[in-house]
Order: sequence, then structure tokens, then C-alpha cells
Amino acid sequence: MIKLHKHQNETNPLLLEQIYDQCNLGIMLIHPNGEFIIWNQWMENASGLSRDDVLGKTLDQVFHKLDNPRLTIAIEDTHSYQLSSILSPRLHGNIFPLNVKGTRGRRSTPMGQIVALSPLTMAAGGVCCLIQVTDVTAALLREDKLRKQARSLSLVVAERVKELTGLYALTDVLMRSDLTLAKGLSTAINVFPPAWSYPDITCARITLEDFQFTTENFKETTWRLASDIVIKSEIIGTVEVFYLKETPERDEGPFRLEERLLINEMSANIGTYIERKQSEDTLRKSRESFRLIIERSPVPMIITDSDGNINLFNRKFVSLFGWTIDDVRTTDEWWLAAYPDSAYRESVASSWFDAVAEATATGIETAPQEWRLTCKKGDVREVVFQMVQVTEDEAVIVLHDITERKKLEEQLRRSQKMEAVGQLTGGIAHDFNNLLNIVMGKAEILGIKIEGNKNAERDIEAIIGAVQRGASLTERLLAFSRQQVLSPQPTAVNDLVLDLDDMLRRTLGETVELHTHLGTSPCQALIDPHQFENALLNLAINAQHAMPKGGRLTIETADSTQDEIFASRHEDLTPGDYVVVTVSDTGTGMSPVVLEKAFDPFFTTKEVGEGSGLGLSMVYGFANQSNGCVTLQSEEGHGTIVKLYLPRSPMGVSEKDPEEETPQVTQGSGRILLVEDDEDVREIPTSILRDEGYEVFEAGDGEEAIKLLKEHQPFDLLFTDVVLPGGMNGVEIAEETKRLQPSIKVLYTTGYAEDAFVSAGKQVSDDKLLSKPYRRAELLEKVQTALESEDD
Amino acid sequence: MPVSKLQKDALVEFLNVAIGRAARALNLMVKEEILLSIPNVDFLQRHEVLARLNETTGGVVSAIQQTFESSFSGDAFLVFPENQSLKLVQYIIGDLIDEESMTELEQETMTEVGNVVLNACMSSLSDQLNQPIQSSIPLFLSGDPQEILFGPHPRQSDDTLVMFITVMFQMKSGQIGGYIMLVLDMDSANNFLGQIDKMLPPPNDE
Repeated sequence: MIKLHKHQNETNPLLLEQIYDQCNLGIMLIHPNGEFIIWNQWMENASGLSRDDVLGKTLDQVFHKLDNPRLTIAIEDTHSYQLSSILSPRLHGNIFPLNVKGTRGRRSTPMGQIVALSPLTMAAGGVCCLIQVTDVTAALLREDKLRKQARSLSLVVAERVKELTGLYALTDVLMRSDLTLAKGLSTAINVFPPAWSYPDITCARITLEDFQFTTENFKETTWRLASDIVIKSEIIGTVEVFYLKETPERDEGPFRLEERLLINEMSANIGTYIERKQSEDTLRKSRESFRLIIERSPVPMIITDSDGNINLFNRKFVSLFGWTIDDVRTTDEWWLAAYPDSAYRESVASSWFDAVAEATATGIETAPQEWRLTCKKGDVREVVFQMVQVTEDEAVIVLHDITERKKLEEQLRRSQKMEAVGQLTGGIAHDFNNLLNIVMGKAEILGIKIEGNKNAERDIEAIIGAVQRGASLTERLLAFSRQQVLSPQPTAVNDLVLDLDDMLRRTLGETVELHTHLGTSPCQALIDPHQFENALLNLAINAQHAMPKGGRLTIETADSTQDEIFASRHEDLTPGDYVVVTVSDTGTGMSPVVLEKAFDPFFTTKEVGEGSGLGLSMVYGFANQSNGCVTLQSEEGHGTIVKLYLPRSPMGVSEKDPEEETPQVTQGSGRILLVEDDEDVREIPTSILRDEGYEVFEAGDGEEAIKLLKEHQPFDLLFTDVVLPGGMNGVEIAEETKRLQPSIKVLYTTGYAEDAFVSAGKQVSDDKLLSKPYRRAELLEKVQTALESEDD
Repeated sequence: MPVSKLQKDALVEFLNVAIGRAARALNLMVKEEILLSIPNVDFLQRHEVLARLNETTGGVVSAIQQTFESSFSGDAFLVFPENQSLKLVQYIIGDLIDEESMTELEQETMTEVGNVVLNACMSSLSDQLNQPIQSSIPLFLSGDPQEILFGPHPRQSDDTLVMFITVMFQMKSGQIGGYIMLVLDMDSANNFLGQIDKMLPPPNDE
């Protein structure tokens, strides 16, 4: 509603016409009858229609085919209801066919318009429709451009996001630790296509020296983008992307610059990945082989970590000690399991932790520690422990089972001791026998000289008696030192034990019961029966001493076969068939200290004067020299068990000793070559034999003897000591003389003979050997027997 | 100001016709169909309107305003919560340049939509009341409801009566709620109701 100023009168139609012609918008006024009554200058310019063309005409007459129902309704609303309307360009496009004049030589373009309709009431009644047109071409263009930019911007952003998403997806795949290299790459290849401009027609390939990974739709085409995979400046493969169809030309063929950067980045990531995987692989393999080395090592080992967990008992450990990781999971459990005795455990733990602390400080392995370890089955083993810290977290403990070695060492020590004592006693006995021989000889010669003097004869007898006791002592010493002369023969052990029954019962007295359990098998051993009897008697005497208040002595015999393991635990014993004679008593038994020394010569628990201390020594020597052994088991208060292992002999009847004949001394005749290094000893047989009428030539050693033989042969008999200085022993002299004079007979004498015979590989029968000391009659008898013998 | 049940019922009937016309007008212009729900009519005081709007719009509204003049005068508004108006325009013309505000021409589009709806209502009322209602060219407004609807205005006072019509715009992508408001001053309200009364049959028992 226009309200005019008080100077209303000054306004006139010309002025109003000038106003609407000057307006910068289109003004049209439609009369209620539908005809245009106002058409301003702006409209003339925009439509190219002058007001003469328009005024008085209707809308349809001016604008043909407007066909805009909204405009029709709006005009209707204005005329009928006096309502105002607005028509916007986005909903109606260009409502009227108007143009904007071209600037700077451009052609004129259609005008974007906002059209507003409003009612004007005429003074005469009726409503006119005022139509105003605003030019919004510029705004439309601006907004169109903006919209276009926004669209393309969001497209670009989408592309970049796609590339970034691709990179992230690749990183995700490559960071997965559960995939192997091959699986990782075959997964990674599939993140390529979605990151490119045309995912549906994109395929990709990773080529390495030995492998190739492709997307499922892979096909090589000419539209290719590639990037090398480089590790340590060496090309190890290629990453390629192909388009399966032709697409518009971009920066690099059909590919964008961003895609070039993307593939380079992706191939770099893959290179890093391969390098990492390879080094992980190497590490894993080396860890694995480290594990295997430990697991399969022939040395028992434990791996622990810094949290006190036990990570591994290796195979050898489990087989030796029985404990498995299921039994013992932590070091705490280990201490309790392996050292059940708390006092012992504490002492082990304290020295162990000291050693570990020291090793940690110095960075080297702990000093070896030797302890008794309790196995799963409860047996105890001697073990040396040593720990080395492998990494910050892990330590390896190496164990060395020295149980067997300890036993062997102990055995060796013992056998070396026995050997030493044996040599010593053997040496003494030998020298002693020589002395006894002289005393015996001289005493007998003296006896002949003082015949008739009863007092003197008694003295001589006493001397001879003492010499015989001395001889029996040396005999037992030699027995212990395994240097006595044994005559092993197939012997029925059961028979011998039965034969001895009487004597044993007498020895044992009334308080001790004797039980014998003889084996049903033959029990035939290759032994010297006399010495076996001695051994059995000795054992019986010891048993009787151990049972002062009475008890029971049991003798058992049995055939038995011993294997390697048994043999290895007993010095000098070879696996094979044995007769085992077990002598057990119910006596006081022995403490470990006594047990340790029981076989030592002269060691005795009996009162001074009661025993020689040679009983068990003799048994020991006898068994060993017979190629068997003896074992001793005893516990204080629980009796003693002695087992004799004697080598079994093939079946055959044991030879009974021929009845001893009374020596018949007859006048002798013959030439005797006598070899003996000790002049004093030599004098005895020389004088006895000469007294008896033999012609005797004396030699101090082999060389002298051969010389005499050559000068004075033929001789009837060579009588020689076995052990001689100067290169040749008795056996060798005998061989040499036999060679020079085959008819010569040989008689040996010795303080101990075994070594010489053994080294000569020669077995000498009883009647060719005269043991020192010997009596005059024995000498003469043996000489006579030797001279009379047929073969030699 | 008391509005009788009869008056209200009559008005609801007028408005049903009006909204039907608005929907038809709208669908002549836009490609995607928009359905308008049956309106819900309340007569509210100014503060009640504000409370209602603040509750449903979160404080910022877009509105198309047309002043009208008849035997009663006032302002007609089509009001949307701002984000809902954006949705409506986007639905009609496609992508917006900026999803968070309208450009000049997008606002013009919104204005025309409002104009169509408001004109339909007023032409319908004009038909029913059988008298012309003159309206002005529509304006697009955006901001605080208090300022937009009840800004400095000589004809409004606290006892201003607001005919508050809630209409749902149902589109394929969902529905948005808008409000048609006729804000009348005291005299106009009396005249308006008087015009309504004329349309009612004479009272019998009362």
C-alpha cells in the first residue's frame, strides 16, 4: 500500500513513469481484465519487446507457450484472493523468456529470475497484479559454479581417501603377525585394486624371485603401472597394477600422479615387510635350532627364565632323572622335588645362589657344583651342575651325571690299593721265602751233622717248625697278592662243600648252626680245590668270630650267568658263566669303614694275636687269581654276605688228588745245572744235592747257565729259579737249554712263580715246580721225579 | 481468549481443506511427492508458542513470513527447525552447496515452498470466510524464534493469539515436522472468531 507524501500534488503520472523506468527490476502490471497496463524500461531491455508491443495484450498473447501452472495459479491468487506469491528460479527455471545482455562482446544469455506477484487495488475497484522480476543470473551462475566445485572437490577427496584407505589396509595386513610371508603377500595383493580409480577393472601382481602373487582377476594388459621392491638398494621384485580396459589418459598413461606415488609407497612398505619377515624367519629358525640343540643334546639340560619358570627339561634330562615339565614347573618346585631333605636342600641352595650371583657379576658360567640329586623314582644320583645365562631372560643349566664315574673311580682306587698292597706283600713274601729257604736248608744240614744229640735235634726241629709257620704265612700273603701257585682244575664245588661239612661244623662250634643249600645244577668251577677249601674255612672262621653269641651260617651254591653290567661293576670280571658261592652269617656285621678295609692284608677287628688279618685278603686274592671275584655286603647288626664268583668249567669229573706218597729218598746220580741268583740261597740245594751224590754246576743267571751248558753238556737236569735278573728268566733258560740239549729235564723253583709263567704263556705242572721254602726231602723227591719223567 | 469447541472444530475443517490445497500446489512444482498430514490445531499464547518451539527445534528456526490484511490482520508463518528446513530443501532440489546453511537462491526456494503452503491456507480461509485476505510478498527469516516471530512489532502484545497448526511433511526419505502459525492481535483475533461464528449454524439449546 503506497502512501503518498503531503506533496502528493506535486507528483504526476510522468514522475511515476520515470520512477518505474529507473527501477533496476522488471515491473509489469496486469489489469483485472488480463491486459498489460505497465511494462517498464527494464522489461523492454530484457525481453526485447517495447511497451507498444505489449501494452493492451494479455500474458498469453505476449508470451506464447509459457505453460507454467504455478504462474497461472499465482496470478489467479493475486486477482481472486489478493494474495502475493513468489516464484524462485530453482523450481521454475527461467519463468519469462528474458535475456541478459552480453558483456565484453559475449552473446546475451537467458536470465535467471525471481518473480514476485502482488495485488494492487485500483481506486475504481478491481485488483491488478503487479509482477516484479529480479535478475539473479549472476547468483545462479555463481551457485552453479560453487556446486560444481563442491562436487569435484568431494570427488578428489574421495580419491585421496581411497588411496589412504588402501595404504592403511596394506599396513593392517603387513602388521599381522599370524601370517607367513607368502600368506601376507597373497592377502596384501587384494588391497591394491580398491585404492585405484577404477577398482572394478584393476588387477595387481607382486613378483618376487621365486613367487608371484596376483589378484583373482589378474590379466596382463598394456595399461601398466609398476614399482620395484627394493631391499638394501637391491631390487628383489616388482609390484604392478594393470587396468583391464582402456580409460582416459592421465598423468602416466591412464594413471594419475597420485597413483604413481601410491604404488611407490606400497612397494616400499612391501619391501620393508619382506625384509622384516625374512629376519624374523632367520631369528625363528635360529631359535628353533637352538631349542633343538638343547632338546636333543646328549647332555642333560634345563632352561629356566627370570621369573623362575622351568621352560625345558631336555630329552636326556628326562631319561636320566625322570622329572618332566609336568612334574616340576618352577624352580621352587624343583628345589623341593630334587632335594627332599631340607637340611641338604638348604646347603645346596645357599652354595648355588652364591655361584649364580658370582656368575652374574662376572658374566660367565657358574663354577661346577657337585650334588646328590633325587630322581623321580627316588634313586639318588651324583650330578655336577653348571649354569650359564644365555639371554637376559633365559638361563641354561647343564648337568653332568657322574654317578657311574664315581663308582668306577672308587673301584679303581680300591683295586689300585689292593694291587699296591699285593705287590708289596708279594715282594716281601718272596724275599722272605728265600730267607726261610736258607734257614730251612741250613737247619736240616745241621740236623744231619748233630745226629744223636737229642737236645740239639729238638732245637733244630723247633727251627724247622718256625720256618714252616713262616712259610705258611708267606703262602697266604702270596695268595692275597695273587702270586701263589694255583693248580686250577675242574672242581665240583658242591662235593667240596659237602666234604668240608664236618670240618666246618667243628670250626664253628656248637652255638652256630650250619645250613647248606647246594645248587641243583652241577656247579663245577675251574679252581684250585685246596685254595677253595682254604677260602671257605677262612670265611667260616670270620663268621664264627662275628657270632660270639651264636647264630646261623648259610652256604649256598648256584650256577649263574653274569652280564656286562654286572661285570662292569666288578673289577677284573668278564661277563660269562660263574658258580656263585654265597656265605652269609647272622653276626654283628661291619660298619662302612670296616667294610672298606676288610680285604686289606693285616687289617683285623680281632684282638691282637687272635687273627692274622690275612683271611679275607687270601679269599680276595684267590677269587681274583681264579678269574672270579668276591663281593662283600654287610651292615652293622645285620650280618654279612660274602659272594664268591668262580668261573664255571666245562663238565668233567674232578680229579681227586692222588694219595700223597711218603717221599722216598734214594741215592741220586746225575749232572744237574743249577741256576739261582742269590748265592746264599743257591748254596742250600747245591750242598744237599752234592751230599746225595749229584754232580752240580752252579750258575747265577741265564747267560752263565748257557755258557756252562755249552762247556759241560750233556746235563740230566736243569734246576732253575723262575725269577732271575740279567734278561733271561727261568722259563726262557729252560727253552734255550732244551734247544741246545733236547734231552734235558727241567725243574723250577720259585718264591712266586705266577708272573713268570704267565708272561711266558706257560702252564707248569705241579711236579715240575718246587715252591720255596722247601724241605730237603721235598727237593730230593722233586729232583728224582723230574729225572725219571718221560716227557718234557 | 477463549476459543469455543465449535469455533475450533470449524477451523480444523477449514484447515483440512487448506492443507489439501497446499499439498496439491506443492506437488505441481516438485518432482518428488510430498504428502502433508492432517493438521493439529491449537490456540496458544505467545509464551506457550515459544516454549513449544524451543522444545522441538533446539532454538534455531527457519521461517517464511507473510503479513496479511483482511477484516483481521496479522502475520502468517511457516516455521521449521533449521536442520529440518535444510532437509526439505535438499529433498526438493538435490545436493546443497553447503550442508549446514542455505545459499541465497536455496533460501528463495524455501521461501516459495512456504509461500505456496501459506497462500493455500489463506486462499482456503478466504473462500470459507468469503472475504478477501490480502497478503504481502513472503520473506525468509532464520534465527531465534522469539526474535523472528515476536520481534519488535507494533501490533503484538502479550495477549496476542497464535493459531498454532502442526503439519507433518511426509517425504520418501522420512518426515519432517513444520508449523503453520497465524499470529493475530487482540482485535484481529476477535474479528477472526467473529467471522468464524458467522459461518456456524445459529445456536439452538444454548
